[in-house]
Amino acid sequence: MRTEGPLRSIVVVGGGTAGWMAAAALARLTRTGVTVTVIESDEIGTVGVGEATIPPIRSFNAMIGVDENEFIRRTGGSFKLGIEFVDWLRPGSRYMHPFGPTGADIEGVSFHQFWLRHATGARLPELGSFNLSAVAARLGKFQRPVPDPRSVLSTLDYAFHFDAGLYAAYLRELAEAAGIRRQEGKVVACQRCSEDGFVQTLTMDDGRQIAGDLFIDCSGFRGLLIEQELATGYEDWSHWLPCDRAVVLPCAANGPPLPYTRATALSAGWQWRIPLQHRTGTGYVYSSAHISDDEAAQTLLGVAEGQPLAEPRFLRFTAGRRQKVWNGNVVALGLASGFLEPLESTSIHLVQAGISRLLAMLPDRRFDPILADEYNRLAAVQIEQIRDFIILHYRANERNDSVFWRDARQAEMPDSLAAKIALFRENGRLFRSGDELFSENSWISVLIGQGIIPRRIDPLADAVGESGEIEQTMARMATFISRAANSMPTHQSFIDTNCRSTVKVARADPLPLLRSA
Amino acid sequence: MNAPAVRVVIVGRGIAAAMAATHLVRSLPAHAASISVVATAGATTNPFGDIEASLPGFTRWNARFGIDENELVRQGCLSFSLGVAYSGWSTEGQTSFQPFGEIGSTLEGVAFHQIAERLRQAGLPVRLSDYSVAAMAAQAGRFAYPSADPRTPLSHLDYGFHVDQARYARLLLDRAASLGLMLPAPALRDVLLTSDGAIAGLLLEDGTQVEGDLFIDASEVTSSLIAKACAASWISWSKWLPCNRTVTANRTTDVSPAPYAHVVAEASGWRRIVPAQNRLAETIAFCGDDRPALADDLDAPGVEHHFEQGRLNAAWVGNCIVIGQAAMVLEPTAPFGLELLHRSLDRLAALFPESTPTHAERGEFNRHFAEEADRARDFVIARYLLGGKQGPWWERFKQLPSPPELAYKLALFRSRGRISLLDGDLLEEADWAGLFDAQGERARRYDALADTIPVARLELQLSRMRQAMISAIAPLPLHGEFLAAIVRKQAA
Repeated sequence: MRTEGPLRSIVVVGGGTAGWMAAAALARLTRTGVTVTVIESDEIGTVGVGEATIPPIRSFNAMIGVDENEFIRRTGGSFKLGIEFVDWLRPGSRYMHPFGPTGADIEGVSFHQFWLRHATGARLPELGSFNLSAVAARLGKFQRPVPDPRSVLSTLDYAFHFDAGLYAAYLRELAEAAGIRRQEGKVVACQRCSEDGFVQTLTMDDGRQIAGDLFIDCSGFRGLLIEQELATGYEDWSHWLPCDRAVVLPCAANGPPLPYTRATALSAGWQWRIPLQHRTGTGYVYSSAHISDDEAAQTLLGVAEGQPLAEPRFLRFTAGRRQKVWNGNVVALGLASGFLEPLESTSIHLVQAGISRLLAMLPDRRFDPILADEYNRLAAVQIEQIRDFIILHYRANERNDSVFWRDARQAEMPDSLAAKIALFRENGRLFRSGDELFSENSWISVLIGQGIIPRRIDPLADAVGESGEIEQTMARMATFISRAANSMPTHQSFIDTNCRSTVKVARADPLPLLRSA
Repeated sequence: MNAPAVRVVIVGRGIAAAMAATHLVRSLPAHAASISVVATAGATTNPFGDIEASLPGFTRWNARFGIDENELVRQGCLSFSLGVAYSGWSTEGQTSFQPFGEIGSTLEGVAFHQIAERLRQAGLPVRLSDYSVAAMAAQAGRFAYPSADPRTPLSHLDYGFHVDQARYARLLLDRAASLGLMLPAPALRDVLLTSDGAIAGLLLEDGTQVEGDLFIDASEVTSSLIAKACAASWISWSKWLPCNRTVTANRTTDVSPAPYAHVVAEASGWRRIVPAQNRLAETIAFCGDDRPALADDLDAPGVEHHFEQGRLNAAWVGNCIVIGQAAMVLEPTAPFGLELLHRSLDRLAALFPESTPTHAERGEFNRHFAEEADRARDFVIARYLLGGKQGPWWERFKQLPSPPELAYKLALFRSRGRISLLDGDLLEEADWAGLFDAQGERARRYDALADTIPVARLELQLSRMRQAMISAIAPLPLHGEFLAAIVRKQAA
């Protein structure tokens, strides 16, 4: 019930990556006398995959006080410089969506405009050759960026691959050390206030009662509180993103880990490949309208590298978002809040962003509705922007080998995306909204990688320099980058020196983000 | 291979035309655009006074186009600005300061205004601008450039200018003339339209015609012929911003100019004083026939101007783009005019059409134009709607509903001290927090994370911060001395 006064207790329903990320971040509030409880059941199995992330994860880790090398060791993690897209445009094509800047603007004009102007003469290497992360990724190299902005090595940007189950376990340790209480068991009933519908008390399977002012629903797809209890509703995006299943297969590592994620288009979806130190995670995201579960599993077994370490496991999902991720005194995080296929490795980021937003809007017991409104507004904007970016990959394909890809090409797309593509196609311009997650660099890598080449280049680019001069400048950039990348240690040797994993292999680790329904 | 250059005709002779000519000629290649200026239509006098105050973005605009600010100072075009002082806008007799640059600093991830609120609720009075190095320097009448050394508080400083618009425009247009962009320009008689409603050309009083592909209306008057031909309609803001008359005058002075503008809420309107080198520009704003006695007390005889605050529903219609005060009139109680102008120019250069403008480009331009204009308006309106100003003229604002975006921002601030930045916002969270704070708004609850830092530690941090600022400011020159040194440097 809504009353005056600061929050006294927060209850996180569900462990797993989302739950323990939330707990680790909220641990800071225990200093002010707030009780934070995590309800988790050892019986509810978690399934999941090696998880790939994007660079902002580093600021989350820093915020909760994680030592990066220690974290890599504990989670069997590896470093990630970008995502390689194989066969997406057409069979045989490949491009990199790397982190960090591609090229450098020349006299205020975006680099890609010059690349477009000169690439027509075909004397220029691919766009990725102007991005240090991309070049290092191809060479299997890694090091952390240097702070000196004059060095090209400062332009490197990175994220991680790690075992999400081990990450959750590691965060649990940190959270418990900081005073978070864990309650083992399952929730069997929920008591709500008759006046405003707020959740008041949860009843556990052994009869324990757990009361709270604020509840964070990290219960996965089913949305124990946000949906099963509050019937918040779900906005279904499957007409834009038809993939609704995944089959998951952990495999033994078959070589040094690559410092990038790979997404390979298959006949009815795509395959991820996430290299960890102790194994390689792979899976097939597909559309059940286009391929059967058996066929999908057979396809995956056929293309997976390395010895399978477990039976293939299946997951079902529907792309979309919860109508309100904050409803009453319940805030949903992770799969309880919505689902986007992990094509751009955004699952963990959405959890992280939800937590930061919650810390920023943390209510008192009055639960002023404007806080939830603002939270929901920002959450919707963010997930829709990411949704558009993911749809882009499907929309612009030239594959003719299956109905799935033909359908994807002809499907409708959101107006927001259509406007963006139209403007880019006209003369290579992009307008990002204020706080969009993916940078101009990211959009350009994928737009050009997917074969969307502007009809004309920006006339501004023509105002700059002599054609020959620019070409020389660009050639120099590529040389600097190539030299810098070659000077870096290999990914494997960097790991061996700094953060060699302590994780033992050969069993299918619990993998929580994709919790089985 | 290339399409023929787009013929761009800029109409006007004020600051908007001058900046448009500079911006476009410097950023578009000669083979893509041929630019000419018809310095004919429109007033060169701004209804809000001869001296315009800018935000720091204008400083960077000049640097970007190689316009030497020292040279401008020597020509008497510029003096420096560290922010705006407001008197009488909240409680009677109270003055607040809206500084440029940072206010305080974030501590352990918690915004400074949230820290301040925590201390206030613990019984310790904190005034935000006491922790702004720009505000403190301004109050002392001192000025210095921001420091590149992150260890000194002066690295948190930022500055704008007070711009003598007529001189500045003349200087830029002289440069345009030396590039051969200026056309001889008798008065404008008519706008010639094509059958599909686009502008084909301009007919001048002497019978000459100026043809073009793209027309930029920088005429600075809302009733401009061109804007009319564009068939754009005017959205009035007079409900919230009723001032529609001003009297402007200049006064000479030999005291060191203050590095800030001063806006005073009066019994039925407001008064603004913007200092420049050797003079002060004064504007008295009011509504209708309600001319205050104040307007007759000016040292020099004032000029009266009439206008209606608002904006066009679309600034790019067909092949005509309207910029500056012809597109939008917003009183300068917060200095947004030049910022909106160069943002429009930036967007125009970025969307510059190779031949016929496409729907996508126009739509994008107009969307940003509307968002930025409305968010600037909200910032200005907030000072009217909030605060405890007394008197019959101000009463009406107490019951007036805010535009929804402002109402939303305000509700969120009142609830938790949060600022929701929306598309088109020109300022940062700290500026909005400073505004609400100055108008006496308080968050019901501050950021819960602020409680994780002990009060004693916050007190210590704040007192260190302030001490460092005081030490950094004490040795700085007075603003007048700073300007004089720039002038001397050339003489030497």
